[in-house]
Amino acid sequence: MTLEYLCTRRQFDRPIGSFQALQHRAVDLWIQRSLTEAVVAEALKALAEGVPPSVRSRLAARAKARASDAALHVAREAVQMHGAIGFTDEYDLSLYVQRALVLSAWLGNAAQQRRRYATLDNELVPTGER
Amino acid sequence: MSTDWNALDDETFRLTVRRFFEQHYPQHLRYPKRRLRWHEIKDWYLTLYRQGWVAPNWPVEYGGMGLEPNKLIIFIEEQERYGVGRAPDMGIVMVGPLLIRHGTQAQKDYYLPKILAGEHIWCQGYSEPNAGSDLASLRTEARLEGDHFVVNGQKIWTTLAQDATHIFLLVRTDKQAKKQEGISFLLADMNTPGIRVRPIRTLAGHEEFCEVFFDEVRVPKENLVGELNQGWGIAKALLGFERLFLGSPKQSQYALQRLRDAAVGLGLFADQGFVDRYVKLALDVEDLSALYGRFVEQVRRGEPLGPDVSMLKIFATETFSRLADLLVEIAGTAGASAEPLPTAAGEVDVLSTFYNARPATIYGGSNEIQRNILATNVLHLPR
Repeated sequence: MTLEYLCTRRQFDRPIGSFQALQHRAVDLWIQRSLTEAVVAEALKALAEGVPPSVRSRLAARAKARASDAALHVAREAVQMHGAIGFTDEYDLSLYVQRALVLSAWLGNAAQQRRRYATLDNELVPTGER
Repeated sequence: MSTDWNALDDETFRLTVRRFFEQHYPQHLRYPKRRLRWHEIKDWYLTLYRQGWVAPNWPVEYGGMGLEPNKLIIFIEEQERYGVGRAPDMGIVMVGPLLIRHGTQAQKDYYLPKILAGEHIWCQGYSEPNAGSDLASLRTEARLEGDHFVVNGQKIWTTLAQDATHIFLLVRTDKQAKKQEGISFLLADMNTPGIRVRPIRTLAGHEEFCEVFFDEVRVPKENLVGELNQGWGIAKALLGFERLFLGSPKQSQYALQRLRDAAVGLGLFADQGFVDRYVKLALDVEDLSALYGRFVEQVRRGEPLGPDVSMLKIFATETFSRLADLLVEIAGTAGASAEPLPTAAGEVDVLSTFYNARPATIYGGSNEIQRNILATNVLHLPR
């Protein structure tokens, strides 16, 4: 949706998506989306192969942490790149932003998931030091 | 006798390679903090040569191991795992595959065996003072005079040129043509009169790269690779799946281990503020591995890598950089010291991680250029 907007919205006689400042930010969002895909796919594959419950919980925490952060990051930036129209209730983007807020917070946001991950992974934070 | 490595199952092959590295690679050269010079790593290069393993990527008929992509990935993963230092390998990685594909029979017969035997050490003459990210604007020129090209100009950031016996270079052979269409690919002996090398000291205090000057350097005509003015296409085609390894998570995994060692020694795991930041970075490294794994799978299936592989380089090198930053930060005052950080759990080297993170986001196409590639070729944003 935002990519489409960057290609069609024109200012200064050119599509705003031709400005490098926006291009690089769009790329960073796309990288976060791709990372989320990779992490979720890895978790699903492991689940399908039947890993022990402790590993399942860890994978879930890790995937949720990445997905929550990525969703909020994309949502915030999407509003910014749309400009004023992105801050309206009427425009469809508002649905996605609200949804990202809810889903990111639901069942533990990214920061909570990372703490959970740390408690589930005995190797990650050296014992006796906590 | 040559072995058909590809016939081995992956696990057997992995263990064979691992055992060889463990038995033969010198302990004191593991995980080097900087690029090793030829005199330091020569013995290892020759050990690989005697084993027939110096060119894992070359076809068997030319003296390589002939590894298929998935076996080659295993070989490189094991090198990284054991901390095997990178020898001056431009001959193996670039010149060999180039000549096998575009070279004349005479070029192959002459150069390939000498690369394998470590008699010829190659360096890459691409960048110039005014041609970095915009490489196609290079100006070092070669004019044809009888049986020779006469080369004039300057190359820069030429890695380990002071150790090289030969250089492969892009030169301008037609000043009238569109900039990509007037470039040719030449091979030159570093001992040719008129070539001068000046090492450049890096921020880290090492002499890893050089300037190379060409003053009326006469290069035999038969040292042209491919057709005249076709050099740009040839150089671009060389960017194979080596690009994958610029995005390997190994560098970040190793930095994370150092960060952990330092934090243990400084008692920082009792500090929730630190732990939160550490875990966030640890998850970045985990997720980087997942992303890397996806591209590795793609190569294993025999599919070519698309322009989207650029994102791997960006995320890998920027994760590495964030790790280095936190390491310097927790070291406090000692973060400015070239000496290792003394901790209750032993010494941890801080600054070499920070220094190594600097060029990582620049070489192999700066991260800004990678973002341009992604914006245009993957996201299809307007120019």
